[in-house]
Amino acid sequence: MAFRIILLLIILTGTGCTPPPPGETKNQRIVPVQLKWRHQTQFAGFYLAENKGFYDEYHLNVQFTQRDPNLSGHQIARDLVSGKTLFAIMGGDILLTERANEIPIVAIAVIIQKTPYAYASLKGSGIKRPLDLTGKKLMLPPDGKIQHFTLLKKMGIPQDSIEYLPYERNSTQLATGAIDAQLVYRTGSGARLEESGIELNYIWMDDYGIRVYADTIVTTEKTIQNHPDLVLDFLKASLRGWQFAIENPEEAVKATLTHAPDLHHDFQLKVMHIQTPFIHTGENPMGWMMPSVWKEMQILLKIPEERLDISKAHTMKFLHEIYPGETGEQNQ
Amino acid sequence: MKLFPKSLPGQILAGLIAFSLTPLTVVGFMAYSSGRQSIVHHVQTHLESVAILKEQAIGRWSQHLQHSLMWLTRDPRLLKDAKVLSRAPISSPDQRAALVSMADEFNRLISLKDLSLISFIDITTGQVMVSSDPSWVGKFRDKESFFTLGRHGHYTSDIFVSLSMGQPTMVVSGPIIDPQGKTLGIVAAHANLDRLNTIMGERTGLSQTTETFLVNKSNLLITPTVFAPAGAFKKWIFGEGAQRAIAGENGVDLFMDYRDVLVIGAYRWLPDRKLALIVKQDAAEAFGPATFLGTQIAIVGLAVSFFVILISLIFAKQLTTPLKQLVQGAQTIGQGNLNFRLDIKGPDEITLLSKAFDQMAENLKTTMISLDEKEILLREIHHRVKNNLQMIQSLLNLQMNKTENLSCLGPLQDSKNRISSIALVHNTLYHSKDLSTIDLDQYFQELVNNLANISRPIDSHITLDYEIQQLPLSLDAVIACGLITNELVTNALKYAFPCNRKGEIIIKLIQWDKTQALLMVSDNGVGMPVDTNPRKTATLGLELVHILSESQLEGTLNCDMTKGVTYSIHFPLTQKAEPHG
Repeated sequence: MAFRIILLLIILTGTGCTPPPPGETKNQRIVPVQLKWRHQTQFAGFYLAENKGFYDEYHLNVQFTQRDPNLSGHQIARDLVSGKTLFAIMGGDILLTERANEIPIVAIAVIIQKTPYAYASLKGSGIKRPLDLTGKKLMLPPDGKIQHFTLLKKMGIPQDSIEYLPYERNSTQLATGAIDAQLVYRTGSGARLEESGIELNYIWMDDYGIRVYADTIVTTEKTIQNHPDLVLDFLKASLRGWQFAIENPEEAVKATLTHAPDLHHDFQLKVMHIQTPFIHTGENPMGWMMPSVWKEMQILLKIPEERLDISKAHTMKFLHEIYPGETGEQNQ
Repeated sequence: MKLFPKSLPGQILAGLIAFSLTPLTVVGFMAYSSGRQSIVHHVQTHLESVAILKEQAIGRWSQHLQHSLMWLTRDPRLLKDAKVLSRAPISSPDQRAALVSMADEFNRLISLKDLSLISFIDITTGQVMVSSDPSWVGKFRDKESFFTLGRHGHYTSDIFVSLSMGQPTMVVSGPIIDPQGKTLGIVAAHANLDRLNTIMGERTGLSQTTETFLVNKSNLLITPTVFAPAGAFKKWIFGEGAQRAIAGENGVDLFMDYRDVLVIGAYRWLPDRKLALIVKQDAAEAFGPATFLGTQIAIVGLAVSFFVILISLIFAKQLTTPLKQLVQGAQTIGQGNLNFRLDIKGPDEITLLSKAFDQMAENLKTTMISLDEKEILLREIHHRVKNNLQMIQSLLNLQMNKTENLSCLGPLQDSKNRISSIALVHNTLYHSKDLSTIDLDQYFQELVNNLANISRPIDSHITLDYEIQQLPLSLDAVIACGLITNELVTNALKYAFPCNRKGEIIIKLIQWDKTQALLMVSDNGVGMPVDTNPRKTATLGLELVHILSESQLEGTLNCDMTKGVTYSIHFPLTQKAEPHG
């Protein structure tokens, strides 16, 4: 905590325009990490890497910061560049957007590999495919709009054939019948809706060729250049933590609860089971990225090549070091 | 600590045990080692055979899927339906009929259980047009490898978890091409992995701890195992066998598995499926028969050892008991009990030895009786010699009492003294326990005291000092030494201390060096006149001294008159003389 206060003072006094050295000696490498959201099972692999001593093995003192809902993706990227944080867990779309704005941040691995966005509707609603949304009331989260409209375009469904209702966090309108469908983050709002006792039908974005990398481990070009060993060590320990989490979901939840004791154990366990197939399917090693998906995302986000050199937005350098000889391609 | 005991029974016991148990141990170890090796070889061969059989079964399953796809893509009915469907948009009755026809065919194939889902995908958009699962119709598969690669030929994917299907699967895909060479669409068939799980789960002939499972190149467990029944796609395997197989090796060996347990296992890399096949059994269980064999050998060995020790004890006891009796007998006889007999019965050599021992004891007893008789006789001779000499002394006494010539008294007394010195030797021997040894100290003290009692004045201030060592002298030498001492001490008593002079007479009989003894009689009296030559003196006593010193003792006589008179005779020490008989 004291170190973070010192870091903040350095930044505020204008002397912290470059990332601080991650510790004078290997034993003192303090690694501030910005999470994508509040403490929950979504980050269980990181917690386990901490609890099981995987970070300690690499002499890393990792300090997680959960996300303030008011903290924008842009600010998270700026914090990386300023050195306030060394790593951040953020959506791949945010990464590309910030990268297009000349923020020199780079993806080093992807934890949530499958697009967790899905249209959720009540089981008996008859909404089983995107075309069924025509004439229906839909609630869209702001960060899902691009994927939604891209899908409509791909399916040839007019945008105005669907009625959109204002987005509300933790909405219960689907359960009450106020809306017919809602674009949900499967492990987040989707799981919470199920927890309320309603049975849902899902239309997966991924089934319609909309592929977006979700939880991505991001750092800066400068950190990669100046501290490649630290990046490699952090990634190795984190991926080992995720592997352990999938093998031991109960321990993953326990580790999560050490950071957020108020969370409900059973619900977090359920989320852990739900998110496992999004994290790995056996096709590729844990954390793997494919350039083709990054390219698809660039197209999806309509970011022109002159604004974004997609090859610089991610690096396979560390994954190749961790998985020598791996050249995995993806199936479905 | 000594390796072997000192006692004979202990040595016999140790020797017998060593000679019997050493080959037993060697044979036991060789039997165990050979048995263990044979069992390991058998287990390895068995596991390798299982691995090869499963590999072949997986190969046949995979080929069957590929053949099914090939048959599908070349099926005339499907070709016809695909041709109709390729004319988009789908609206005509023919096209609807083709959809139904193709779906029916897909469902028929699904009912055969080898495949779980079959789709016909539009070649242009990648959208599913027909599927055995209606919910798949309309979905896009344009980004999937089985579509992008299946367009150009037959493709088989790795095994993975399908998010849409919610279960693991493997996809075979390929194009449907009309006779004109136009690609009409892609058929993608998702395999039912139950068959694969059945192949891997088949446990006929496998032991309790034998596991057979598949691991992909990322070390992810693909099929359930005995110890991780819910571990498929949720557990990573980093056992040595899996690592070697992923590295492309095939083999069978002892290694640590993913649980850090020692196992015997066969590992094979299946290049077509990019999977590692592991068949392994816990070493503890595999070596169970070897351990059992070892335990049996150990039990038999212990039993045999017990009997060997028991028999060795009995044998050693049988052998050593008569020997102990012999030893005890020898000790008893040695302590003087010549009546002791072993009296051991039996037919063996020990009995013969004991009989010989008894005979020897009998002979010894006879000899000892004879010796005792001779000793008594010898002692009697000494007694009689002494008595005879005493009788001579008594005669001389009578003569001395009757004689009126006082000048004769001296020589008679001298003669009497000389005879007394000889008689004293015999008397000493007669009273000694051992007839072969005279107590020289006792003899000389008695001799000199007798002389002093006779010759020393009543108020004499002459003291006598002795230094007598027990030397190995013959009887003749002792008598000669006694006579010489008699003469010299008599002279000293008579002449060395006139006028009641105070003085000392020293008598020494000591070992001079290794070969010589010294007899010395010394006084610190008035001495002799300076011009006296002791060798030429005319007295009988000194003449006798000369004769005895040189002829009898073969020694050298010296006389020192510097202070008093000192006679010293150096004479050779003889070997222990024969018994004084």
